[in-house]
Amino acid sequence: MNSMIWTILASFIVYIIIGFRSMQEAKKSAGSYLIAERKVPWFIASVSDRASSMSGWWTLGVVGQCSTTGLGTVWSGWGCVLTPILNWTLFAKRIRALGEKYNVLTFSELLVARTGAKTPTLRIVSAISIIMFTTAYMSSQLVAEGKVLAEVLGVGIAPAVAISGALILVYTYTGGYMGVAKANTIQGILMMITLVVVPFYAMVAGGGWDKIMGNAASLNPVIFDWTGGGNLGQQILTIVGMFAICLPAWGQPHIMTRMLSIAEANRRYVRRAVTVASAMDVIATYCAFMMGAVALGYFGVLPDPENAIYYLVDEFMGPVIGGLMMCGVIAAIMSTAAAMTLIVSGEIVNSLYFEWIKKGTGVSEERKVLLNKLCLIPIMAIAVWMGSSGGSAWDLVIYAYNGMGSAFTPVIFACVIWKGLTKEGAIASIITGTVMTVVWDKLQLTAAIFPDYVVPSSFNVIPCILIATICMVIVSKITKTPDNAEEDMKLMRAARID
Amino acid sequence: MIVPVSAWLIGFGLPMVAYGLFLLWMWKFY
Repeated sequence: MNSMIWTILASFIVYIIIGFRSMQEAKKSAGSYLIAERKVPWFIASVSDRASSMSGWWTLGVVGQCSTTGLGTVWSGWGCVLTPILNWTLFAKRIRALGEKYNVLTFSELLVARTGAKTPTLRIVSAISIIMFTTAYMSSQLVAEGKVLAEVLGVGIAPAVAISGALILVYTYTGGYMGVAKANTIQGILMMITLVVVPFYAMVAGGGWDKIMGNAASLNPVIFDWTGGGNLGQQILTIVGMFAICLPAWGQPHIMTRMLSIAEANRRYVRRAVTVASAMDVIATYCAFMMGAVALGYFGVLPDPENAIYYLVDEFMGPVIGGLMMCGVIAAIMSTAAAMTLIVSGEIVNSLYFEWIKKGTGVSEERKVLLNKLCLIPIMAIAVWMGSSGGSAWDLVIYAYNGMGSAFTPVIFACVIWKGLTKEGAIASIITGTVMTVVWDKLQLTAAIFPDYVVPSSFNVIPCILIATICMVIVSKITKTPDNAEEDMKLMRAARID
Repeated sequence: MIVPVSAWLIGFGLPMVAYGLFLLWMWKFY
């Protein structure tokens, strides 16, 4: 085996060791397994939050987009910067306070508690849509990781996806949430090193700024155009569409559930967390752009610009450093998949089984932890099976990310800032958002409305979220506000200014 | 000039200034 494979294997061993080191803490209770007993320190919380949010999209997707759309792509990065800013300044204290009051461990339980739902409809609708979308999303991440491993190890896509799934399963099974969060932190740091080192190293080694950027500018006239090029209408649609990429982020359970796990919610904690998390996004934004521009300037137009990072690593870096950089790419993907696995298990075992089907029956904490762990195995098996055919699962990611965003973003905002949210309103938003995402995409409505423009696919989420929000507000207005709403809002407002 | 002034000013400078102001606000007043 060559040095690159050894370097990548070493990183896997580190993740597995982290999982085993967190095993004792994780097996105490379902709370310790799923949200680390709300004891996650600020650095781990903020870096792991960003690592699991960014996924392979940053190291592959954004890089490819930058080499074609040019500097206009950075607006998607700045949209993403808004995610940690609002996560930490608006949601963190409120969700933590609410989660602690009702002792909830999952996203669906949080919605049920906040809306005072007595019937299981909201719990079922929310849990099922999270399970479906998250498993599809997870599967797409396994495909991305499988493709990298297939290249490196020289095996087929199916065994590579299975290896990826098995690795993630080992440290998620043993370490629970804290194990995953610590591994995500290492993965976040590796991913940032890759994003910073590769473009600058390649630019210097490839002939310097003037030569590389001069070539890039001659090959793509809009590479340094902050509007993305075209007439005024095209420019506006590009910028708005790019910014819209942040909107679904607040509806992602694997991101918002993190706010249930934070150790404190005081100013010091939040200030540090938001600074580190947002700085990671800012650095990643410009480094991804640089990577796309350097690849374009050095290689010319690549057959698949999303693979720019592989070409650059292969061209300029030796097996050990190159292996370390590939670890960063793999880490970006693994961190998202691992965080999602726990979310699905929590929804099935806690939200549906213990809090609904078996509610009121005495079950020991050890048994809850065991069931959460065992549930990970079929979840991972299904994700591997979905991803084993290769590229097709990538199609699902659009539905998964935009679908969850359209379904849950209006609900989670209403959950923390609007007293009037009812369970019926939440159900209406979840169903409308999900259906609208599929319908909008299938009917190609954006292209029908703007036939003369090239609109980023992330634009689709704007009308979907808008319609889901309108449905949520109308249905909430005509149904009864929960009795606990006033008290919950007071609790969350007080938590904001501790 | 390879990178136009507008790219430096609007594509990089303006959002960085806004981001810097946000961090300043957060560490001072949040």
